Amino acid sequence: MKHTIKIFAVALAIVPAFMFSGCIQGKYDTPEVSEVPVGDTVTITHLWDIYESLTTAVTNYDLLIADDSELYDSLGMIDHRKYDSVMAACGGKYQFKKDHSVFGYITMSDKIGNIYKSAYLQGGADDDKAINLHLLSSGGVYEGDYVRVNLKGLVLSDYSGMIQLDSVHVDNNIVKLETRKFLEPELVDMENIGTGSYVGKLVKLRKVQFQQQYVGTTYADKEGQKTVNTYIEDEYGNTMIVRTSGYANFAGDTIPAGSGSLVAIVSRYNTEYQLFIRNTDEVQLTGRRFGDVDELFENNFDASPVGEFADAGWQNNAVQGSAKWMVQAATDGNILSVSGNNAEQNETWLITPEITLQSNSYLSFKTRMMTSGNTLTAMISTDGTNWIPLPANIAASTDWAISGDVSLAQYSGSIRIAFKFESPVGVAGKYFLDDVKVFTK
Amino acid sequence: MKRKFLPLIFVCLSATAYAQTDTTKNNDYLEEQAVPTITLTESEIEEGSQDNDISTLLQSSQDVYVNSAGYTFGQARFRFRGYDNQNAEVLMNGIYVNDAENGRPVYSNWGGLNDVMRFKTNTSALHFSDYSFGGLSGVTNISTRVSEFRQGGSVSYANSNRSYRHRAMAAYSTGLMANGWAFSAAASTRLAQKCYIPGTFYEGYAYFFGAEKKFNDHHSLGLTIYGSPSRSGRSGAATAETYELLGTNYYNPNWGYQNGKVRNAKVGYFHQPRIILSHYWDIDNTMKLQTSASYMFGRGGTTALNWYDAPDPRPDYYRNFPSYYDDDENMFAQLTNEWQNDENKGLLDWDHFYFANMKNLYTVTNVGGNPNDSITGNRAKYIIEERRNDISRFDFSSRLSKIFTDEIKMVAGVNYMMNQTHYFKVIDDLLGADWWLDVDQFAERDFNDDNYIQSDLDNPNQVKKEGDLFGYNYLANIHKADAFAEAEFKYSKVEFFTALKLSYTEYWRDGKMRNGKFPDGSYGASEHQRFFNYAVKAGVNYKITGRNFLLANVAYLTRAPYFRNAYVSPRTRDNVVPNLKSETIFSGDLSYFFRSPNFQLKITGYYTEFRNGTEGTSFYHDELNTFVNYMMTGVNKVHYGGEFGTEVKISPTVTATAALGYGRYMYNSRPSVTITQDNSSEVLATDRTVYIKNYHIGGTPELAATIGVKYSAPKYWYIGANANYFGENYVTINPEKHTVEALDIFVVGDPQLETILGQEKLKGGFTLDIYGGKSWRIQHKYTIGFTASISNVTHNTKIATSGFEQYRFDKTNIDKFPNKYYYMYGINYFANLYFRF
Repeated sequence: MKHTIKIFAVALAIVPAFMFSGCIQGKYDTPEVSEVPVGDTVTITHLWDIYESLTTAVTNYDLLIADDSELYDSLGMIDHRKYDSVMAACGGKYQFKKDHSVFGYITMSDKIGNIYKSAYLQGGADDDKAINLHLLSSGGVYEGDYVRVNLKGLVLSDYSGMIQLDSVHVDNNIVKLETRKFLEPELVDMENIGTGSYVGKLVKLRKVQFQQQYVGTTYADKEGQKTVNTYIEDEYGNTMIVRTSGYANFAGDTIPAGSGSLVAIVSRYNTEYQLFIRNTDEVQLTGRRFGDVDELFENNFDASPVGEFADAGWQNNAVQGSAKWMVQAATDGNILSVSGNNAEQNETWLITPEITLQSNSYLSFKTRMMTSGNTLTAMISTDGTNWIPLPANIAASTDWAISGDVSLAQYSGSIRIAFKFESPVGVAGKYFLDDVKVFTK
Repeated sequence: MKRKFLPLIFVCLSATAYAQTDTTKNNDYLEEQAVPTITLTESEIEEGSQDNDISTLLQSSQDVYVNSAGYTFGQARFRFRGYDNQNAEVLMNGIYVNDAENGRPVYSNWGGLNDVMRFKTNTSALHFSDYSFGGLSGVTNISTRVSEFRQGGSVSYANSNRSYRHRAMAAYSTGLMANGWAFSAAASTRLAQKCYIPGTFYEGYAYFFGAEKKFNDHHSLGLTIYGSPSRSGRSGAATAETYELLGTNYYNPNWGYQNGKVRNAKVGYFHQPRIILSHYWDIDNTMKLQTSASYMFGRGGTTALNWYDAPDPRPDYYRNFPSYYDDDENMFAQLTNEWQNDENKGLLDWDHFYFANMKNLYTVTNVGGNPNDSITGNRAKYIIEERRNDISRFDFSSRLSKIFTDEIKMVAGVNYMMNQTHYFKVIDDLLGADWWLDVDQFAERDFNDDNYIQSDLDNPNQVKKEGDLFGYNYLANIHKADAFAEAEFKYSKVEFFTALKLSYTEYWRDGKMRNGKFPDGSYGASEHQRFFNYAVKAGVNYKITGRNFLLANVAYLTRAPYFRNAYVSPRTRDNVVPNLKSETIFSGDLSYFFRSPNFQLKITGYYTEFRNGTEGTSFYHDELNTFVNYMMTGVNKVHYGGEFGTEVKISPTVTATAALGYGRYMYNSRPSVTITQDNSSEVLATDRTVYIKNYHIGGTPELAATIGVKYSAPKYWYIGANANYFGENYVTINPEKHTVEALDIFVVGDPQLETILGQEKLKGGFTLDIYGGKSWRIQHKYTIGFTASISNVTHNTKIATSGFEQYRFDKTNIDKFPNKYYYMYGINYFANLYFRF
């Protein structure tokens, strides 16, 4: 019996072991969490005003202060005039000393890696400006976050031409108020980006394409993790840099060939504007490239033997006189030439084979005139009988002239093109012809 | 009547201590008698090393060297012959209890049960064991046969500043009673709010219950149930820079204040009880059959900080140190000042974690793959996750021993093990956030693919709350069967033995989560890996005279690679290390032994070669934000050296001892390393040659020596002292640094090459330990007594017990990731008061 009691007593001692999980270490108290103070509200437009006063401080600050000094006083900001010399010495930096809050939408974060320790903040409808936030560490804010940024301790400055709020601590300075509030990009023409009023903003460019040399390459060097600048262009020949980091998760994706729209953030590096793509879903370049043609018919005569031109399907008819279209070697491959005879009237028709047009077809060729006084006319016929002159640009000098893209839109079905050469008696006229093309675009 | 109340008093005592505790720490080093114990957990893999990793089997035995060395070398993490702990085999009632996955003994599974786990039979090195074939460093069998426990009880209280502050233990055994029953029970508690190293705590309990029924002279049946739940706050290794900044070698980056209370981020919480049923069958006077079956189960887990899209919160992140700014004077000065004068620098900022988590509004869309489902709330940036390894394991062992004649004995047996370890992570604490989104942020940055980032492709974009499983989930299945036979022959002039073991190992991974990065290799059962192995050993003891002996042993064996080393990244996929095959081991030793009543001496030389080993290390790479795995194959190692031990009885009361172990533990080949990361299929390196031949393996002093003297007074008291020296300890190597690829930017003669390739030798040093004890008999029935020991009396805090090259290496800034170290404790004590009845 005494054994039993002792065993039982030891067993009792075991009890704490089973009370172990739960009450011993337990949960730690949740620390009291402080709120990020609000203070007075500042708009991004205000920040721009200060920024512009910083970057043009020495000459123009009076203007700004004259307009807005009351506002700045009410916000408790320092007076620029008093501290102008300090500003200049600090290299154009402005540090907020009190609690102020700026509200805005995150339009781009560094989550996908195209930018680093950085985010773009854009105001709403009544605050039509945007700014770069330079973060102390990467991550923590996301596209679509509607946030309040407490400005205390932050530094407004110019980073190589770009307005930025520096030293932003994601936890201490930013309060997320709402999520998935995605701003619509603003439609803009490429040439207007250069006005500077889109800096930092989310924009959408339409009818743009990457320059031919970048098509098929990648956005950046993913392997070497190097940033790459590529260029897009519009129909009017404007170009703009698309800058992509080698750390972007789409850095290794292939640049599309087509034209279309592209959504990006406008940034600036010194005097140059740059675009940052947020994600490749917003690069909708699926349309036909401009400058791109579908050739329906083409002959550059390089394959035609030197001598009288006699390619299959073509007609080379000396209606008057003896002049025929001849194939002749030139530095850039063979060309056609026709020469009038001083002693006779010449009329020579060069007629293409039948060409089946599509909607929106064009004709192009190039010519060169060696002697004035004769004529060359481009004509079209749908039946081989009735010929209608075309408004093509024909050479009037010894320089090669491009015909221009001659619209054949009003014609359809099978057609032939004719080049009618006329040279009166007494003129030894001569034309060169090359690169005859019919195409659609 | 009075005596019945004693255990009850203990109950109260334990309850009081318990109430005081909320944080403590584990450093299972130096138990009561400096018997080294060991805790090996997942966190060790992460860090390359940890402070509760210590020496191998060095427990009391017949060996004069082991005896002398065992009590003092443990504090320096001395490993017997430099062997990994997996070479020390531990049995309990014949059941193999080493960890199934890495082969290492897990002493902490029965920590705190000293009273009932002290019936051990030790065999060191390659000598003959009555219990099994044994490991290279030997075999220990712990017997829990309670009919052989002395009748009586004990209560004790110990106080220490080592692993824990307080320990209370109680035990009572009935001995074999007239009715054929025997019972034993034990319980203990070990607590520390703060251990030796700041930020650490320890909270451990233990229980044991044993019953045995003797049916007749032939048959007895025994039941053993024990467990040792413990929770402990861990410490971390430190760099030389923290010592320069803080003036201490015990900087711990794992803790900080929350609401003013100490909180540790790395907490180990283990409770893996075991039940053993044993059948003892004395077939006749010469033949015995002991059969045991055991089931072990329970949780293992270590917590750690995890963070999403936020800066690395760990205070010892390399960018937080002045050295990172050695080209920026201002930052250097500022950080130096902060480290030296701001007491919060170098600590975790718990309050900030809550602040950040409670304002991180986020909307998850496409929850669970449902496009219409979205959740908005505060997404966790920082969490405490627990990396679990829960065990379910069945073992069976049967051993037959037969004495044929006075000269000839044979032992034969079979063992079977079936282990399933469940690996997964759970959210332990959201730190104020609403949930954690289970995606891989590294993959997110690198790949423009929503599937790729999913931890669980079949249930994408899941939000996880406290207690939820996330991240990874797989089972490690291991089956092992072996059979062995030994024969021992003892003749007047010569004794010899021979032993043979055949074993079969089979394991596979069974994935329970389809990982977005490895949709084909992460889910379901993998291919089974199968290995057939054999081992032979033999030994001879030639008796030159009755006092002079020459002993020689040899062993040759093959060993299947451990599960832990076989898979390149088991958390995310089932790929095995290329060219996975068994390791071959040869070992031999030769000793001279002299024994007389007053003088014992043993001198041993040994030589061991490991060939074609597979070694794996995983660590958390903070830039890649994932585990990176280094898997080396073709690892050859050689261990050779000498051991000397002596014991001299100077007078009937004074005994002097001395022990010296001196060896060389070297790599002996150029292994291939394959480096993978958990969160990408991109292999960082494949079969890269590692030029580490003739480098030290490291992790243990190669030289350890002690001289001791003990006075045992006739009136039940004793006192003793040991002077020790530890040295020739080398840092363990980062294989990546020793490859051609790591050095391709350097030219011959670059002075940096010496720094990169040189292997740092840690500072050795002397320590002094003293110990003593006294006991009294009361009424010839009871004993009351105390023992006390003070280690490192001279407070030498400069001895690094181990060091390692960080697994990160930046060839453009070779000092960026300096070596890290663990240091031996300064002066520390252990005092124990006991009462036996």
